Amino acid sequence: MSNRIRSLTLGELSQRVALPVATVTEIVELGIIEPQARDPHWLFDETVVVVVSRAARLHRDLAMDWNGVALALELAEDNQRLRRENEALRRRLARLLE
Amino acid sequence: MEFKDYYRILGVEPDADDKVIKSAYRKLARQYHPDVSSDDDAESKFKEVSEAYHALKDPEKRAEYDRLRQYQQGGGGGGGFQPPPGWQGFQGGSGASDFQGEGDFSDFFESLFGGGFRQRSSGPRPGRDLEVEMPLFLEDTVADTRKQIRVGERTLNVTIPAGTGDNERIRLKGQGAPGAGGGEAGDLYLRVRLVPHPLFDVDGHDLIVTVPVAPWEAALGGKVSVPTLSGRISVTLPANSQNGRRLRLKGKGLNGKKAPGDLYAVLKVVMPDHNDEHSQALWRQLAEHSGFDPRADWE
Repeated sequence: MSNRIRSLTLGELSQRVALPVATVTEIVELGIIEPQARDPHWLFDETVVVVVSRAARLHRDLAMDWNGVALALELAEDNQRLRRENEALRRRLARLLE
Repeated sequence: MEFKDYYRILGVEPDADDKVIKSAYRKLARQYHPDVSSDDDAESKFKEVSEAYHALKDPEKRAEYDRLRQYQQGGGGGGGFQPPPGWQGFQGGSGASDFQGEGDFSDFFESLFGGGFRQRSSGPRPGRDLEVEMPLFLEDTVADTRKQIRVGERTLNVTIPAGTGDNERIRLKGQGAPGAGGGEAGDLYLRVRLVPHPLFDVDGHDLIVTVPVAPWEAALGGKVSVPTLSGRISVTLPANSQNGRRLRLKGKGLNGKKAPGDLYAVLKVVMPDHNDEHSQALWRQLAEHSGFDPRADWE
């Protein structure tokens, strides 16, 4: 079982997520995912596949445009980060007060 | 089979028009979409809401459903739901559904509208990539660790590389959902969640440990034995240390891809639970001797 993370070209990525190259390009331009290399052409860390799939589900299920999807994912990520940070700070506070 | 009240699921009246139904669905779909919701039940609620909407948005399906619902309310179904005698199931053909989801609706929906509703493509289709959260103890990040994880029915053996941090993804090739029609299986991504530790808090690659000290230790300084992930070490406590002072223990934090993080020992001055007479006398002596006023700033 290979745990190594491979790099994907734009074409390979769009095949993996079953979306047209133009759509994946838009997803990159909106900053939903970042290529790990841009020169001479885009290369993606394979873990972006789950992010693109999640974006595609939101686009489809909630009839959102890609801009909205980018915003929703950013807010959801922020929300989760803040929630975890809040839990961690509460735990630290409890240690000082108990 | 359980009868499903699609109107109640969407929170609308049975005579609601299409606009009301659509807007109720949109609102609930946003609320419970498993990709953004933190609700534990998000996935099943989202499926239920999608199912209700797909039954009610199509006028033919909705008419058929309404007929059954009336029959059910008339007591025809008894406790569980039984279709009326002679009922043939949904015969209308409004063409392929525009629903592109995973499509595993309830038995109730399938019996009403048939399983042929699902879209099927003939060529090979790769399986979905899956992502699951994997709890990891801080102790397991010190060296490469083998772990068994259960995903559905399967048990997988995974090696977690030393220094794996919170939120990182580990990919297991071919361990996602199986493909269809000879398509390749998807991949499985494990998203690491560090488990809260009884002693250590995590801040990036740094660790924080709260060290209780007696008032005289804070005043006089000395050696204190402090736990780290790899055993206890002796730390020098400077004299006259304030409550909350942070002592940095370089390289004693979590392993990182580059350099390891640090461990911060945070001092917490703790009073003894009780004082005997002699101790009280000593405190009184200190109070008389010291001109210290901790509330001088209030003046």
